[in-house]
Amino acid sequence: MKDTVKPFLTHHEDLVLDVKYDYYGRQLATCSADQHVKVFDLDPETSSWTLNDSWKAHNSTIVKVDFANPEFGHLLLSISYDRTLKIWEEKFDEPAGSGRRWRKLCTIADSHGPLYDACFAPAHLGLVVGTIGSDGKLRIYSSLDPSNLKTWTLVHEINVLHSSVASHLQSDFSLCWCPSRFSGEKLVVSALDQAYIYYKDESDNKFKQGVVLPEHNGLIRSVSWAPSMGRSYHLIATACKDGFMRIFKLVEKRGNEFEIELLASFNDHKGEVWKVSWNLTGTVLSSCGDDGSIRLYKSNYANNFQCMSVISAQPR
Amino acid sequence: MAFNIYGLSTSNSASTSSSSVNFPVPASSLSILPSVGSVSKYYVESNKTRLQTANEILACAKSNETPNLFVIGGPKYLQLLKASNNEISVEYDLVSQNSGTRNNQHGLIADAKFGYQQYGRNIAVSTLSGSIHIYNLDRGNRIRTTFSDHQRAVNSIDFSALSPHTLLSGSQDGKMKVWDLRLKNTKAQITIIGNADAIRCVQFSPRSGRQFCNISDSGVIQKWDIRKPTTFERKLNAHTGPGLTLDWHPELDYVVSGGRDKQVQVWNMASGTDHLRDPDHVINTSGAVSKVSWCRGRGNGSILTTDIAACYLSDDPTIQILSLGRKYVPKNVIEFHSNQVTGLFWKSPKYLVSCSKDKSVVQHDVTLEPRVIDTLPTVAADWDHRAGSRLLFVKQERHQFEDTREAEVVLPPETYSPNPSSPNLMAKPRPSLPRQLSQPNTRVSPYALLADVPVAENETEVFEFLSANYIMEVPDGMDLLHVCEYNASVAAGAGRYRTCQVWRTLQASVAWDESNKVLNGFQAFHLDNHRDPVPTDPSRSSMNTSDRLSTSVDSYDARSKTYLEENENAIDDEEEDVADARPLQPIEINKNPVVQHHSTFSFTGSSADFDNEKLNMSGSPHTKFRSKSLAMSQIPVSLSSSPAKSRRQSMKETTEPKSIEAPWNPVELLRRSANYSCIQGDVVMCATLALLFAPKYPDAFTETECQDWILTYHEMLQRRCLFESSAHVLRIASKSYELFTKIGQTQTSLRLFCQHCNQPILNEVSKNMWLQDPEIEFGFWYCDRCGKAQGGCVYCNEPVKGTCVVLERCGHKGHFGCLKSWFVESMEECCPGCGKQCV
Repeated sequence: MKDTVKPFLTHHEDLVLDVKYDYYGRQLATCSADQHVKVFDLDPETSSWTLNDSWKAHNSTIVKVDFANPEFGHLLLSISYDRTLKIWEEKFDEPAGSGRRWRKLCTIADSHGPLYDACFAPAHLGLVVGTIGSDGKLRIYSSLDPSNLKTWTLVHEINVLHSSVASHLQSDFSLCWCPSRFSGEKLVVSALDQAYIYYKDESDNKFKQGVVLPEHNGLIRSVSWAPSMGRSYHLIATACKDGFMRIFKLVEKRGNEFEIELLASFNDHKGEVWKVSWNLTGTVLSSCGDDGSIRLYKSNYANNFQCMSVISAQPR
Repeated sequence: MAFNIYGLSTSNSASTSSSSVNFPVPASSLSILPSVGSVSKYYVESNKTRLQTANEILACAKSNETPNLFVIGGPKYLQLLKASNNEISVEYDLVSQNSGTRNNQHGLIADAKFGYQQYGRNIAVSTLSGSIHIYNLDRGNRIRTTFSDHQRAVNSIDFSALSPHTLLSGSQDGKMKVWDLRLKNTKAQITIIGNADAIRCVQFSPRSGRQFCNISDSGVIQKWDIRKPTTFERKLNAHTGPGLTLDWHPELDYVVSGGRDKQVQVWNMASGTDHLRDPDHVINTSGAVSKVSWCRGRGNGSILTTDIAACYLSDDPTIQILSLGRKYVPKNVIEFHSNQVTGLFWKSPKYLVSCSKDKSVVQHDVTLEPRVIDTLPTVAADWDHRAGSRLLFVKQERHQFEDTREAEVVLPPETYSPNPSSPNLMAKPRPSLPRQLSQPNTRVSPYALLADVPVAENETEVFEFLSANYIMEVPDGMDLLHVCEYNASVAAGAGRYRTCQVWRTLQASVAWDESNKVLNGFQAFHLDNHRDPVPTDPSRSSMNTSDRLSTSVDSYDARSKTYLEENENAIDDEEEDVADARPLQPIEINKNPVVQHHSTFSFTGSSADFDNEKLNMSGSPHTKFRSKSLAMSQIPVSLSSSPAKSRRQSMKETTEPKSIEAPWNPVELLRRSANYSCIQGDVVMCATLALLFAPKYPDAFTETECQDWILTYHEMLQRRCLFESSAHVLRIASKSYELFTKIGQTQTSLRLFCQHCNQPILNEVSKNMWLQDPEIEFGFWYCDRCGKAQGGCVYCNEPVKGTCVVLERCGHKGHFGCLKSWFVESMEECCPGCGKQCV
């Protein structure tokens, strides 16, 4: 490929925990345990990434970053174990690399424990953010006034976890919005070893707990809802500490009921599976595991998912 | 109510217990009946022990001479506790709330400490009221001595390990006092005035009976020698806010400090390091650090291997075990308390004891705590949605960031040379800053890598080519058949031979359908005969198109029949099938010379399947696109066997007569091909099919499907910045679906670029001015950046303020009214500025 980008150093001083492309694939945000967020710009001339800015965003490990849909502006969110969610906006009049290029719009510190996951809702739902932290509460914030992105309203707070976390055990939480425009407002939320569908009940505008994704035998590390792309069913992938990556097929019935079928499960990583994510068409699934490799799964003609390639880098 | 060892809750018995019993009292000899709640709870799985008390605990301290004995203090009470590995029990109430009037001036406890050696059974307690009480456990709960020289709260006290009779206190009034327990009088032996700030913490050096450090509200750490009370030995500007706590390393000459600036700093205190202005290590934490404590007895050879326990002010009830080897990731985060942790100490290298305002004392087994590093993923990855099959990931090792640089350096405390990286201190008056030196040179920052995924669908070049060239609606002068054929050649030009075949099949199907509508009743005949390999009915030759199509169906059928019979896995059979199908061609061509061109197209294509060489590229549209896409011929056809298989599969499905409808009818074929493309993720195909065929064959797809495909397609085009194509898609889609009309109307935004400096006109500066001062005019007819006005109305040449009309073709703009009079009233059709045809 002509515009292959060479490996580049992130210059983070500790583990990079999340990377995200922006909508157009021209910016890249990385966040790390070193409490810094970095944003890189793609230089289309040289196909290389140049540092846009790097700044200390939180007082603890930063676990997730996410870009908002560009129709809402150049917004980036970051969440951290320091219990805060911060939303940043790019200021184009500040020079790159100044540490001030991304201005903090707001800090939300509602959580009583470290935050584990947050992401912007699909654009058709408006400027909405869902977060979940170790207090087991799913919080959904919305920016109601487009002229004032500094004010975010907590619109929903849902107790996902009904008993508190056992402190001597690991815990993990994740969430993912249903990207489909035609299937109502819903998301999949995992708390410890349970994964639920939450859907918005149109009658009273409240989120209700729907079906449970079965068969998990350990902490769920990550959930990912595939873009529907006109399919008559939904695909949800989960990554689990028990070593399995699972793909569920959900057929939507009336009244937000789902018929769940476990389409496939793989334990190719021979260890914990950390992250799953679908590509834009919901046809290729990537999973990252403890073995440091990324595996890609694609369904074949008979609708069976198969591992199509394994990506790994030689440690330097 | 206070706890008492008799378990009786009346004040009477409590006072008895605390006033009349002689000491020392072994707990067992009193046949304890523990009061309710004073039984500690043991958590087997985490090896934690928790004792719930009735009051907030403000301070705790362990006995230096008696193992497992410690003291906790809160508002007006002081208790001795005994901790085994799985039980914490109340040993004795030194002070209890309702133990009579004598102790009521006791006040709130700020700090408590045990003495050393011969004073090992002495406990000093400082209070917020400014007094220090000394208890001797051998003499019961009577206060042995009270020092009350301080004017304000005594925040911190400490005994010296090496001269055990010496007690040091630091107070809110900014004074530190040294007391001698051997003397009878209660006057301070030495008074040291640090600076005006409140002293937050004082501590003797564990290796010297004379040296001590204090940290104050200004964030300054001072080092003193009690023989020179007038001047400090060293002053360190450590924290930017109030410093709250410090702790000497048990073996090495280092002090760790914590402050409200959320930092934990480690300072080299050895003599000869006086010039150092920066801490050796800084750890940024998540909260104001209220207590820090080095782990005693484990990894003490080096500061990098000595764990630091830290707890925080405010609402963060966690305890973190920090390690200087890994500054950013704490070793453990202990979440157990529900309120602020007020004190902690290491009972042993294994057990950490903490007390909290949630009224509990907890003994933690740090070896069983989950390690934070194990909860962090080592791979981060994200899809580049622009190039649909590219994945960026970061490769890193979980332990690659651990700093073991100084781990091997083990020096005895006496001869400890301060910092290995700056050995010649005297020679170099100002060596480089240790903060920089401690930056890792060996650690490699994580690399971000891009991986191109071998997914044929949505490759950038192919995607762009297809999206630019596919016809998505039937233009004037063409019918659906032509469009299909054109699109087929586009697909072939992009190297999508399978898609090309789909288009051809659809073309054939549509043609059949159209002819079928003409010839009513023809379908029945087909149903009877479509499996017959040799067309016999002479009447068919009368209708050229239908005949060609029926024959083509026949040949397809012949092939798929073979598939059905053949072993599924035999890929070699493909060739035979093709061979089987071939003999049919001459028959057909001979019979229908008129449509020979079409037939050749459809048949060579079908038999060639994915094989490049066999595909007939002689058609003129082919060569056109072929030349365009020479670069693309290198694109590997991935999944080389599966498309053939899937094709076979779809063929098989096609031949299954599910309804009375002919299986090759366009609706069915469209549905299946779109379904296949959908599963394969070929969004271009799906959306194009939907746009092209949905108006004519609404039954083929559901409305939601179509909209979803088009939306996804639209999004992909936008992500790749192919705005022209996306606008085109939106325009066509809005004809069929209201949803897209709305998107088109609401999501279109116009950005004006300055004609002078070629930058987008943002005008934020004047907008802000305008917000404050409504007198100022604000708009987009000028550019803040270069301060020049933009061109005026193309009609009247005045600046365009308010509603602005921009001509789509040439980009000229003008007032709504001006252009209205130009185009509507004077019925002009071209732009007033450049004469380009606009209407």
